[in-house]
Amino acid sequence: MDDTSRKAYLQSLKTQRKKAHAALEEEKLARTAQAKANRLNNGKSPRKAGKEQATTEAVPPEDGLFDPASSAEPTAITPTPNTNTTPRAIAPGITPGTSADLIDGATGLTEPRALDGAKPSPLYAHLNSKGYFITPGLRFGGDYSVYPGDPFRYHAHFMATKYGWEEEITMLDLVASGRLGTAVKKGYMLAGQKPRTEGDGSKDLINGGEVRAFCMEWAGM
Amino acid sequence: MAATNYLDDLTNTVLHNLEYQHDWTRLKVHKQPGTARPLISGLPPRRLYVHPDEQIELIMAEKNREERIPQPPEFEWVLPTHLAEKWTIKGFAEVFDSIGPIPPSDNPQESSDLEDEDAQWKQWRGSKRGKRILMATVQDDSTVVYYLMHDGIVKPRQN
Repeated sequence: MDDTSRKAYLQSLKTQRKKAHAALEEEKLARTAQAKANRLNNGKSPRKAGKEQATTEAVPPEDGLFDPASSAEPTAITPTPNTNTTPRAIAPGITPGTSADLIDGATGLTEPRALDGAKPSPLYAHLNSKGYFITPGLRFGGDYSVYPGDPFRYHAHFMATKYGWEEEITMLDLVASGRLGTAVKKGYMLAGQKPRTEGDGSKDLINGGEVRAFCMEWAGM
Repeated sequence: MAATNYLDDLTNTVLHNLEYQHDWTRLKVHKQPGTARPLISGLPPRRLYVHPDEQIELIMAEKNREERIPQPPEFEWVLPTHLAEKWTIKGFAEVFDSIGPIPPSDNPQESSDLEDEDAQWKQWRGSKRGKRILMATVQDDSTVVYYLMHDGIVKPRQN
């Protein structure tokens, strides 16, 4: 292919593109005009508008809704509420900071509610008052993993389980937990809070008496 | 009557296991009027428990003295239980409240001879030690498992 023919070919491509652009532009203008006409007609004869929409609305409806030029003007002209442009609350281009607007009647629920009865357990309070660090203990089969310091620096010393003062403890649980605790180089702690009696107000930790804790280890025999 | 027989049989099972399988000596059954359950005391053939802090003190003391410090066995409390029983925190607390750190000995000077010196490692022995019991759990096939139970928060051994 020589130079002149190449140039001619490129020129033809350019003109083709220009023509295509012009045609698209024309089509777009025609469509927006049509949409305007539709909206104006909508209030008067919805049947006709619907019919016209069916013919023209091969284009998705978002085109009309989210094009600010086409959606802002008609509302200014027709003061009657427009049923076609529903999500007025969700302004285009604004990301909402909360999802509360999306839920009906959710405005009152934005404040976090206080949870009822979320008091720390007596064992937690007891260990915490002695300076231990406590993390959930399910991984070792107890209620808490108890660390003598920062969990990043220390291994847990105990796996602790809380019981009621007169809650029945199955012996097999003690044997199993005691052995598991020893196997992972921890003590197995079981603890319960004595119910408050009249004499010991000073030992009150959380609405009760003193916390008794026992630590178990396999005896190695 | 049946209940007392059951406890006596349980105690005998543990007693025999300690004597003939684990070579404990000077076994004695303590029946206190306050507690329904008999307790056993005895002397194991080897030291049963060394507190981790005592171990550290011993190592330091042995380094200074350049000789080994003897670790004689200590008398221990044994609580016989059966696997089918259900215990409560209250029950354990009552047992601990009814005992002293070391079982009452026939020969008191034996336990007091440790207290002449004021060495650091001695605070873990004799009457200065924390309360602990050896919980013996019996199964129907007469297998007995032993677990040490400490009163309060006692850190685990570095084994």
